[in-house]
Order: sequence, then C-alpha cells, then structure tokens
Amino acid sequence: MRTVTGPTQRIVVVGAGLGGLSAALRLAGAGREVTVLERAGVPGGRAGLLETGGYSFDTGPTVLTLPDLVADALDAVGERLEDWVTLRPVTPAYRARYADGSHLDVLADPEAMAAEIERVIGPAEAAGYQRYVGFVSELYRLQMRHFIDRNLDSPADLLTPSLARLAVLGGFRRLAPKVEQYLKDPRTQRVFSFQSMYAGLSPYDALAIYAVIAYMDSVAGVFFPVGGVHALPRGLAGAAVKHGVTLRYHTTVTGIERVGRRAVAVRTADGERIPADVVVLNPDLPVAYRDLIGTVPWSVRRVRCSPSAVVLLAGSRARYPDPVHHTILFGDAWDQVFREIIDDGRVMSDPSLLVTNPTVSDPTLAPDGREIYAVLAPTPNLVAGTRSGLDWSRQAVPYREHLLATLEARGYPGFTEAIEAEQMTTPLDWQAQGMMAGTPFAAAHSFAQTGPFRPGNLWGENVVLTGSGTQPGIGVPMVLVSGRLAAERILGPDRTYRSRAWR
Amino acid sequence: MATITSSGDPELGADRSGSLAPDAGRVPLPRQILVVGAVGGLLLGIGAFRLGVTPTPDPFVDLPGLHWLSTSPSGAFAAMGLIVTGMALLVGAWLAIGRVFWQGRRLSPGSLRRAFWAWSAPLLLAPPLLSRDAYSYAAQAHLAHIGLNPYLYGPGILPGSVYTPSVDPIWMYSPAPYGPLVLWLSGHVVGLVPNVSPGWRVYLAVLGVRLIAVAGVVMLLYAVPRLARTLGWDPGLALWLGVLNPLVLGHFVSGAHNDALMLGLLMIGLALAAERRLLTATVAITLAVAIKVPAIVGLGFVAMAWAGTLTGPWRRVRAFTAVGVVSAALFTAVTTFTGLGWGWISALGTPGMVRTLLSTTTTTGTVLGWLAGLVGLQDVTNPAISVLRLLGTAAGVVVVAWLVLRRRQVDVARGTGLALLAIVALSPAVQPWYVLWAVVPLAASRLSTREVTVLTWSTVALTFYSLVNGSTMIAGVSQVGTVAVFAAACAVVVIDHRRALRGSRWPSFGARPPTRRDPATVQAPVVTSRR
Repeated sequence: MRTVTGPTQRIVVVGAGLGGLSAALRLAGAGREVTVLERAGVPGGRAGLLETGGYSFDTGPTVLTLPDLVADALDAVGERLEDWVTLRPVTPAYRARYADGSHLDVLADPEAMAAEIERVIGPAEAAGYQRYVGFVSELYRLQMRHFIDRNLDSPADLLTPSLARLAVLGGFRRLAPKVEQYLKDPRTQRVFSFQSMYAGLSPYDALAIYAVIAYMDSVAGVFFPVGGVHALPRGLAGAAVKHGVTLRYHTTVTGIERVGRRAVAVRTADGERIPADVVVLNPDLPVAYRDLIGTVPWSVRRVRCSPSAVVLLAGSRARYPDPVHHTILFGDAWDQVFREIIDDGRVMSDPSLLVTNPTVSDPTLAPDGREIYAVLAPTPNLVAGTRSGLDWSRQAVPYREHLLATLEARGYPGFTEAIEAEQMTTPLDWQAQGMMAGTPFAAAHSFAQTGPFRPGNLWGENVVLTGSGTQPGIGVPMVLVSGRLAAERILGPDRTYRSRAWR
Repeated sequence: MATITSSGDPELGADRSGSLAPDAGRVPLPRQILVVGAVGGLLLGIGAFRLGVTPTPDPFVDLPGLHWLSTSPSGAFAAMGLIVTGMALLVGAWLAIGRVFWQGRRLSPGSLRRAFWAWSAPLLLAPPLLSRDAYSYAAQAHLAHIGLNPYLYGPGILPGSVYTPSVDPIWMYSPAPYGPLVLWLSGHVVGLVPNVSPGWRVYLAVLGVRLIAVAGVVMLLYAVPRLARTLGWDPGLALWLGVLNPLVLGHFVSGAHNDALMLGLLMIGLALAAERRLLTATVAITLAVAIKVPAIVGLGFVAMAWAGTLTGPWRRVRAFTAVGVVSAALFTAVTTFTGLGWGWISALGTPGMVRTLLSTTTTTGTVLGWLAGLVGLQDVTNPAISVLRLLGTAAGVVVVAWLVLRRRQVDVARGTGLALLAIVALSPAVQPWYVLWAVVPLAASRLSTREVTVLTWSTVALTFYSLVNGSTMIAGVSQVGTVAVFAAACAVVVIDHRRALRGSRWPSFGARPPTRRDPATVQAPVVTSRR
C-alpha cells in the first residue's frame, strides 16, 4: 500500500466534515499533532445545520446507517459511542407510498419485513424478499472488508477470491434485472433498487454490487441521532478536541504551499501560514484540486457527477396522521424519471420524492407542537441541466410551486399554508458551497468511478484526500470509511485493524 | 382538610432557663402527623410523574400504570390535584409538628428523622419537582465523566448526548458554576449509568445526582441537631425547622439541588467549630466550598472562633491566615485531584443570566425600568438592573464583613445564617432553595419565638411560591388557574393552622435573643455536647 513520505507528526486537516473528523480521530489516536481548519462555525460539512425560528434543520443526511463505523472512529481514541451520540432506531426505515394509493413499510427486521410484504403483496413475494436479503447480506460481507474498507492502489488489488465470488453472485450485472430476479412486484422492485440513486445512477445502469446500499438501510437498519444528524459531527468534534485535536472554526484555507509535489504549509484567508508535515483535504475533490492544490489531474477532470437534488426544508404547523420519519412518494413513472434527470437534464415530470419528518424521531428539533419536513426532489446536476437549458435562477420559484402542489395532492393537504420557516436549496446553491456540478452527491458510482477507478485519496508526496468524492464513495458510512483510509495513508497499514462493521 | 391536633400535657413545656437537658422528657412524634405527612409525600411523588420534570424522551409514557397520567389532559388535571393536595398535607403536617412545639412539648430527634424518611421516601424515586436543574447536573456530570471540562463547555457542545435534550435551554451553552468536587463526584456517579434506553438512562442519572443531594441531607440530619445541642438549642426544633422543612423535601430531596451537599458539609463544619474542633471544621467547610461557593462565609466565622482561642497580638490576622492557608491548600489539592481546574470562578456569574423574581435588586431594577417607561424613558431596565446588582453585591460583601468582624459575636450558626441571608437578600439571582442556605444554619441557632414564627411563615410562603413557579412551566396547565388553585390551598392550610393555634398559649422556646448575655457564643461556648 502506498503511503505519504517523510515526517508525519504535524498534520493539518482542511475541513471538519465527517471524513475530516474521522481522519482526525484516527490520527490523534496515533499520537499525531492534528489541527483541523473549518471555514464554517460548526463541524459537519455537508451534514450541516440550519437554525431558524426555533427549528433545527439538518441540511444534509437525514439518517445514519452502520453506526458501527462511528464507533470505529471513536474506538481510535478509546471513546464509547453511547457517551457522545445517542442513536435511536428509525422504525420503519421508510414508508413507500405508491401512486396507486397502497403503501409498504420497510422494516429492518427481515422477519417483520417479510410479513409486511406478505400483507401488502403476497407470500411468493415475501419468499423472494427473503432470498434477496440473503443476496445483499452476502454482498455486504464480501464487499465491506475487501473492497470498501480498504485502500486500493490499483485494479490488481481487486483480484481476490471475493471478486470471483461477487462475479458468481451476479454482482457485476445491472441492479434492476438482478433485483427482478428476486422480486416480481414493481413496488418491491422500486423500494429495493431506488438506493442506486444515492450512488448517482439509475438502477438500470448501476451494477448489482450497489444493492449493498439496500443492505445498509433496509436490512442493517436506520438510526437517528438524538439532536439531529448534526449531533454526529458535533460528537466526533467533541471527542477529537478532548483528545488534543486543535479545531479552528471560521478559518478558511485559501491554498496549499508546496514544493514540487510536497505540501509544506496551508495558507488561510487571514494570511496565516500553518506549516504541516502532511495535509488532509476534506473539501469536494474537484475544488480541493483546483483551488487548494492548484492542479487538477485527469482522473478528477473526467469525473461525471451524480444527479443533484432540490431540498425544501420546512418548519410547519401541520402534523399528518400516522407520521413516519421517511416517506418515499413514488410517482407513477419510474424509468422515465431517470431518463429525465440523468440523460435529458430536465426536472421530473411525474416526481418521486423523499419526505423526511425528523420530528417524529426527535420532537425537540422543532418548537412545541411544530414539525419539520425536509422534501428532497432529485434533479439533474448543473452539467446535465445545460442540455435542456435548465436555469435554476429562474426555475427555483416555479419548481417550489410544483413541489408544493405535488405534496398537497399526495397526502399532505394544507402543506403550503402551514409553513412558517423555510429554506430551499437548488443546485446553484450547492455549487456556491463549493460542490462540483452543483450536486451534493459527488462523482457518480459508475463502474469507471468505483473502487480503484474512483479518484484516489493520495496526491503527490504528502497530500491525502477524504470525503465523498474519493474512495470508497458517497454516503455517511462511506465518508467515515474514507477518513479511516486517509489516516491509513499517513500512518501505514494496521494489520490488527478489525472494523466493528465487518469483524 | 382535617385539623391535626395533638393532645398532650402543656406542662411538659421547654425549660425557660435556656439549657435543655439532652433527650429527657422527649415525646415521639404523634403517629397521626407522621401519616398525614407521608400521604402528602406520596401524592406529591405520584403527581411528579406528570407535573414534575420528566426526561426527554419521557420513559414513563410506556409504563402501563403511568400512561394515562403521563399523556392525557385529564391526567394533567389529576396530577395537579395530587400536587396541590400533597403539598397542602405535607405543609399542614409540618405546621402541626410546629404546634406540638408551640404547646411546649419537646419531640425526640429520632422520631423526627423517621418522619423525614417517611415523608420523603416517595420523592426519592419520583421525577424532580419544581426545577429542571437535576437534568443540567446530569448533563454536566456526563461531560465531566467523558473528559470534557464542564467549565469550558455547556451541555450543548454534545447535542447527541442522551442527556442534552432534557437540559433547560437557558443553561444549554453555559459553563458550570459549581465547585470541582461536586462535578467530579457526579461525573463518577453518572459514569455508572448502564447503556439502557435513552429516557431511562437520563432518569437513572438523575437518581444518581439525587443520591449526592440526599447524602447532603443525611449530613444535615446528623449535623443540625448536633450543632443545636452544642449551642444549647432544642435539637428537635432545629431538625423540624431546618431539615423536615417542606423546602428541603421539595428542593433538596425531590429537586436534587447540589446546594444540599454544600449545606451538609457546611453544617458539619459549623457543628465541629462549635465544639472547638476548628481545623476539622475548616476542612469540612472547604469541602463545602468545593461544592458551591457561598459556603465560604462559614470560614470567616471559623476564623473568628479561632481568634478567640489565641492570645497575644494580631490574633485575628493570625487566625484568618491559618484558616486561609489550610483552606487554600486543601482547595488547591481538591482542584488538582479532580483535574477540572479553576474555570468555575469565571462561571460564577452564570446563575445571574436569568431574572428571578425573588432577587430584590433584579426585581427593583425591573420595576424601576417599568416606572421609567411610564414617564417615557426607554431602555432603563437593563442598566438599572446592572447598577442595582452591582450595588447589591457590594452591599452584601460589606454586610458579611461586618457580621464576621463585629466585636459582639454571635454563635457560628447564627452568624453564618445571617451572612448567607444577607448574600441571598442582595444577590443578583435568587432561586427559592437559596433561602435554605440561611434557614438551615439559623434553625440550628438559638432563635427567639418571633424569629421561629418568621421562618415558619417564610417557609410556607416560599413553598407555595416554588410550586407555582415550578408548575407553571409545565405546558398545558393555565397559569392563572395554577396560581388560583395554589393560593386557595395555601389559604386553607394557613386558616387551618391559625384555627388550631387559637387558644393555645405561645410559650418561649427557651431562647432569649441570643446576642445578649448569651453564654452559648463561640467566644465563650457552653459545650453541652453529649460526650
């Protein structure tokens, strides 16, 4: 495995996102002097926080999966997860509501889920689901240790017995046909394959290995931290500070000072120069290369990004009967949705939406008797959007109306009227925050941008990258892993390492 | 409510000469009073599951027996009824004990201690009444336990901590204003809480915090009568006024305030000082200061007592130096041992962040600001409060210095009690339980009949004030209604007490005004301890 060269005592981490914090904890645990520089006033990066009108909105992820990976990061400094973050299971993990009016609750317990499928669809489908659980569990077991939680230097690293086993399982077929092999009803097919959207691809393009995401959220279970998802970076930052990490907020890094391919210091907007033996970069990869390192390698320049999303955060007086944390409103259209937002660069004509109601899990996020709704609508990213001439500076307002009208018609009557605090984020806003192509979902997980083919996490002699743009990929679990992989590039391989998530 | 009367022979009255024989001629507490108070405690304990402060998330809603009480609107009304009735019975029983004393009979301290436990047992396991502070203590203890210094961070630093959602938002980002010893202690106690479901974890932590407060109350049960006896005062009466007091049950047992441990150590220190064991007294009071700072005034009186034992020049300077050196060394050792540092000094202003009605300076400032608004002056309130608070604090320092240094000394309990009373009276922020800082030491000192009467009525008034203040924060109960119900209950208790007293004579308690011709002062103590 390749590592940085030279001394590794003084380490500067740029960005207190989950990747940067995960790396910082590992480095502090190994006795390094770590300084984390964060431009915002709070940690978390994309797992951000918006406080307004008595509401605490999570601006990023809406739940946490694989909490063992958080425990791993805290293990590095000898801390226990339950002392820093309190996690509550989210049950059901999702409620899928279909255009035909039926609904299906996704439960992490396979027995209970089989019973739910039998109730909604039938016994044959329930049996198919149980075989599907066997398939995704096996995928997880094979992938996590050998391909995900591991630094891959070249495609040759992939050549392991697990690769052959993955191939035999059908992991390199496309996701949609693979799912159809187990599940015959379009409703279950959708609910167990839409996760490819998290990886930036339609289920018709994604490889079946991405069914591992369905394992993470639909089988391993979904959790919500007390105090919101943002409590997670807060907890990690607290533990890091306790263990000697210097965390400086409101400190914007404007560039890396380097000699050839070796970084020697970072410079801040205040003109301060902070010397470093190693620099860890947590910003979005293209931005990190373009603005901080000053050169963009081809592997990054060629990147195709995931679709983006419009997120409407609403503090609301309205409460709807039998609320659940996550509701997916599936439209009637399905493959057309992917064609529109990925290929055509248009907004969905028959939208499928994710509605998160986090106050179901933690009512203290809103004032008494109030609710929070976060409505996520997948949209094209800014690059795809140019194909249809999509201009968010003009489309934002009409699109908001369109979203609200859709919600009113699909089970949220009076939604618009009840809003008392609101923020809408469009791809233009994501771009302004430094995200390439205006998407918070980074490089898509096509085969050519997966594993060793994804932009690497080591540049030059001593610059290491972490976050969703590099290996292994996007999502809170992967980003936490990317922090570990970054630390490993600095500290060297740890033969005794056994993740709680796969040991 | 039935009037509790106690038949008895008034001829058993206290000895007017001022010296009370240890336990001779003492009668046990009438059973009827004990039972009425215990029923009151039980009703309060049950009502606390709804109108007390429950953890977030509330673990009791899932218990079949408590679901209705915890969730339904009618449950809130029922709990209101339980609280009002419980407090009326408790205060009524407490006043009934007072009437036993007024009839001139002396009660055995043992039976009063038993009554204390019988009354407070239900409160020991129920959620805290009247204040959310126990949840702040638990959250700060958790920070201390995991190694985040509570003098640097408020609970809000960890929004994902199981303890944070239960903390009053006012204190969410405030550093802890408490001494290092109590944070260290509570940190270890909260560290023992097992990783059960969030609501129960918080609740267990609160019970752990309460355990610390109750340890302080146990010290009071021991030290208050002992000190009273040393000072020639009735130990039973001291227990009744200083420990069986409804404010102690409400704020120290139920509310779990760490002031209990401060007072427990302070009273042990004063009891030792009255017995001329001045070095151990200094140690005990220094530990009290390491819980909460106001106990520091006790050291002044210990130093004065010390000066009384010395001969030669510069007696006061030498005594103060000795006490100061011992105390500073011990405090430094405690601080070093806990590893928490000196951050509490800068956090001492934290309680002043809220405006409390009981603070004379703050309330006067508020009223002045309001009056100025009437004549067209705007924005006077905040400067007025700031100036008055500053003047009040300065005046407090002067009064305390005068009480400590004046030539004609009173006994340590009375001196400390009056000094703490001055501090509370002039403090920028006064919570109802702060008044106990003064009530408990004063209860152990020789009081005149008038003083006992004043302390009794103050207790009744503050108990009902605390209830109104503490209950109106519970959503779903109207404020006007709450005040009216409590006022009515208060009136019933007072009228009942007055009616029961009618016709009975008001004997002296065997105390004369203690500053005159009083042998039981520190400089010339009459040690009537039981050894």
